[in-house]
Amino acid sequence: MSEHVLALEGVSKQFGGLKALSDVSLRIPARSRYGLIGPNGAGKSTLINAITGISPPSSGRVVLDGSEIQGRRAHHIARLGIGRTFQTSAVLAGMTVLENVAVGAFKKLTASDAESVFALPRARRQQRSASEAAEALLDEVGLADLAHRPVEELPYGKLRLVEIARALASDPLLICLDEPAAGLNPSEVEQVGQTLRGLEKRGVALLLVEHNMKLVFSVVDELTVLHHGSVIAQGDPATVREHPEVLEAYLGSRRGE
Amino acid sequence: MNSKNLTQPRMIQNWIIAAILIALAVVPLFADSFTVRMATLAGIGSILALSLNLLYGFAGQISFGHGGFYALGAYGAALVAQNLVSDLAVAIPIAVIATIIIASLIGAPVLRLRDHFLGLATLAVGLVIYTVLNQWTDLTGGPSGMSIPTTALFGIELDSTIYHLLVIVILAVVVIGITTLVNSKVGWALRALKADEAAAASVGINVAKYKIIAFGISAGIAALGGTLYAFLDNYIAPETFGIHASIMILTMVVVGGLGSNLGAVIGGAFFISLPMLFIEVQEYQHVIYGAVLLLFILFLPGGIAGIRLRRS
Repeated sequence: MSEHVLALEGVSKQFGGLKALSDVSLRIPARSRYGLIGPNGAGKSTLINAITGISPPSSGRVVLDGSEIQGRRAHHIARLGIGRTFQTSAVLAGMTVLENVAVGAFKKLTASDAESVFALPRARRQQRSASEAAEALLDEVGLADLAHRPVEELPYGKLRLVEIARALASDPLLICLDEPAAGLNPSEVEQVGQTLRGLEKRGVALLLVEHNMKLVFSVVDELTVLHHGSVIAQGDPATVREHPEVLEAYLGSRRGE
Repeated sequence: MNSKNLTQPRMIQNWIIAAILIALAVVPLFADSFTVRMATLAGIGSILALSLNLLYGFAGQISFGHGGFYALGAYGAALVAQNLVSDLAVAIPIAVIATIIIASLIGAPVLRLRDHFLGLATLAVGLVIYTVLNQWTDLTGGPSGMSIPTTALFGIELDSTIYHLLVIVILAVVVIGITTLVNSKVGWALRALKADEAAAASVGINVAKYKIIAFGISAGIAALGGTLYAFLDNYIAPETFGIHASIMILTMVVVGGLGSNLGAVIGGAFFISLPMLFIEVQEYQHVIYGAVLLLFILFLPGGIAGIRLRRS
């Protein structure tokens, strides 16, 4: 594995005349927890969508574990080792909580579609182990007792945890979480924080987009601040927190009043 | 595993399906030939409804053109019967596989569309298939239709009772096959992409590919229904497979209950028998279809199978 699980080099994204991202570069060390913050409209979600192939970058390079992935399709990038959640909840209605998480391990179901349709032993075995791994993940995020409920019956706060568990189910190199604490109450935020701090043990790197600064600063080792699609600061939380441009752009310019 | 609250209704549904299949199977024991034919048609109707339910109910992709794939199965069977051998054992695999191939080729571009655009495109597909069958007189006999010499399986001629049983056995195989599929890896992919395509892609599901797979398998099952229909009366004509057939299949699925195999079996059986029940007012058949569909959409969007589930 290379030193950096993900490196962005000069990533830009143009929507017609609007430059949503300009020349964004950042490096996420393997197994680290990396934050991405910025005011609304700074381009955070656009950056995650560019990394994960939902909406590929207009220019620049996205390097995952040493190989370029920009321009590949979303499902392909997922298979290469990036899991993600979405800003608005994207659980899979019509499936149980357990199935929602187990389907996260889809890339591990290597039996062919034909083997699967005819329920041949290898396909069934792989599905069973995906379900068992999903149960273990649900246990970790504290949802084991809800495993067999239809996912749409869960309260909003728990859905975010289901999505994080789903993103982890494929044992990715990196997970990108887009505002996992949005709309959660303080105890739910704490549950998310605990889960994220526990990621180190799994060996997965984290890219966290979040507005809840307390959560960000309690979780990440390093972070990038975006403003109007450009990087204005990068470094460890202490440095970024004191960066004048960040205070100006992000926290507002009234400091000292 | 404490999976009671989900698996129990599903178990009950499977038992009800089994009971319906057995009830259909024993019809020849006490009923006249007209009723047996109706029960055979009910079985074929259930196969058609199961086919669209797989595509629309489980994978979330609508089709207003399934009458076309139903037709391809029937005409494929008739062509095999007239030109090769009039035997189900040969006609079924050829007609079904040919339809799967044609549907996959159609599905590749068409399934890029969503929702009502997909609805319109599939409607056009159904119309094109119908028009071709109606106009290509050299191949299909045009409006005057095609006849199938004999109803035989592995060279043995089947009377209407045995044929009825065969249809019910095939229906059972389709039910089991779809139930297995829905819980397989492919089923996970279909249900996931129905719920949220971006989320499905984010776990590595090739959404475009699995939509085509769903379309192909669904069309293949509709073609199976068409083949069985062709060998039932030993005669087919295009009028059976027009747009009203597509609408009827869709109605069966909605009335039965989207995403429920039990609903599809009930819906299919019900709507095939309906015209027989109202045989005296046949000219109003489509009015009755439309009224029933409207009532269900307004008052029972979960369909017949949704009644029981809602309460639980």
